[in-house]
Amino acid sequence: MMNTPESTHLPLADRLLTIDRRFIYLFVMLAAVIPFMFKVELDVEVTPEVMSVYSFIDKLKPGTPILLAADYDPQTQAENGPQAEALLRHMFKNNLRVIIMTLSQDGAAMAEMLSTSISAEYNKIRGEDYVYLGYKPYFGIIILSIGQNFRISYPADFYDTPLDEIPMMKNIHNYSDLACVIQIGGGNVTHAWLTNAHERYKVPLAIAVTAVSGPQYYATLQSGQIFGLIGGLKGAAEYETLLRDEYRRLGIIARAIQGMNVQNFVHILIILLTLVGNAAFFVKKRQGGR
Amino acid sequence: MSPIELTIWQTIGAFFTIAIFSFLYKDNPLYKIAESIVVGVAAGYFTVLLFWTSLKPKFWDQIITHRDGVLVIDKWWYIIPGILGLLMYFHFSSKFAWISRYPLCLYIGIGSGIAIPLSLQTFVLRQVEATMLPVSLYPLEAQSINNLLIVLMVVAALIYFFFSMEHKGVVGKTATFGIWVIMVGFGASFGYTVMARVSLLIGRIQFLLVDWLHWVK
Repeated sequence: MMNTPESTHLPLADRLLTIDRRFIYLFVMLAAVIPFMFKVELDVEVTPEVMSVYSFIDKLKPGTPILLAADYDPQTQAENGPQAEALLRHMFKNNLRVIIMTLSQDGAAMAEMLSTSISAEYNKIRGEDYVYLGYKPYFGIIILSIGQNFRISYPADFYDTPLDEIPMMKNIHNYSDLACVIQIGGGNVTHAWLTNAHERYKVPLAIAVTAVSGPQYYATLQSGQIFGLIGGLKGAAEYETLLRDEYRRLGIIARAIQGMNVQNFVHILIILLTLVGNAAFFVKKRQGGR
Repeated sequence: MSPIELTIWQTIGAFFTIAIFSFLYKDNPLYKIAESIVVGVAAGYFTVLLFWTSLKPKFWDQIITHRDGVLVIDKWWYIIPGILGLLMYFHFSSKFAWISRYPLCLYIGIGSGIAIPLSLQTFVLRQVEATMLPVSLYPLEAQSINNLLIVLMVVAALIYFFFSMEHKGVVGKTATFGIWVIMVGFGASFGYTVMARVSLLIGRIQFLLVDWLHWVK
């Protein structure tokens, strides 16, 4: 609500309850910008659900094939991007063979950028150390078809190289040839990976989802349908914490840790605004207002 | 991508980020331009992507292929789903809309056949199974307390949605406990939602300050 000349004569509680919302946007923006200017590093505690993904990948032997489904798009890049980068760095660090694909129509170019940039950090060769399959529409059907053979939906990779001509894919046909699937995204595609890949073909599955999607998947974690869960920017920061030495060695900013440091300040502001708003509401109620 | 190209693209990205954020002050032409461009580019991008990843390889190339430099008709039966797909467009005619129901029936039938058993297994049976936990408090451990809480809360939340009995007495008290359980769930979800939205804002600020302006290392 706008601040009118009349509102400036109102009691404090009324003025707080009728504050122009643009001031709140401004406070939030300042709380999100100012901490970037200072090197504040707060501890990120690693939760068991993130640790189990890290441990699973860490225990795999070099050369083990793994599927990374980067099913996210620009809308959720801020959360899923750091998750994907951390996971792929861990896989390449351990010399795993990675099949990267996407079932998000807006994510094809982003997943390609992810595969080329991270593989360059580790001097990985396309076709030998990793494969990028690209995007295919109708995610439910694609996930089911991979259970039979990758070649049904993906006769060729993103660069039009037939899968049969790619050395890495020689002995990889379906989920039974993979150590696990790690899906990054959220929403309907994650549901489809749970039903069509894990339940249908019993492939071990871990998910890295947006914070909005996180709570609904804790039930599947408790039921053992997924072996790990990386939730939102917090989950990505936890994974980066586990790979902190690797990030230092590469000289790369741990973006999720940096983001979570800022997030703490914004959360404090939101808590303060909630408390002030409620206090003003109760003061007004005691004064007989509505 | 050369550093100059990267800077140009990042500047374009920064312009659109600021244009979209300008809506927070008030609606303005800059925001409207950015919004229209996003919608237009997304629609165009998806159309082209769908053509090259689906229509051409999965339909056109299956029917017509090159053999010894000559175009030949190969899998002609792929025309049938093609025709069924075209029939969907009758939806736009008030007189012939009924025709679009036939391909739709097929689509829904196949979709339901795949989805119902798998969804039931994933989101009902496996969840019920995961709720059947030992509730003994001997020996008293964190896990046994967790198990008891899970069972009690699931039962209470289900009773809240059980409307065949009046919510009075024991049923009423359990249902009230169920509401509290549901509210705790909503609270956790809302907390995560706030975190997610703030993360998106931080992502954009990181792009502006770290990637574009290089103010923060």
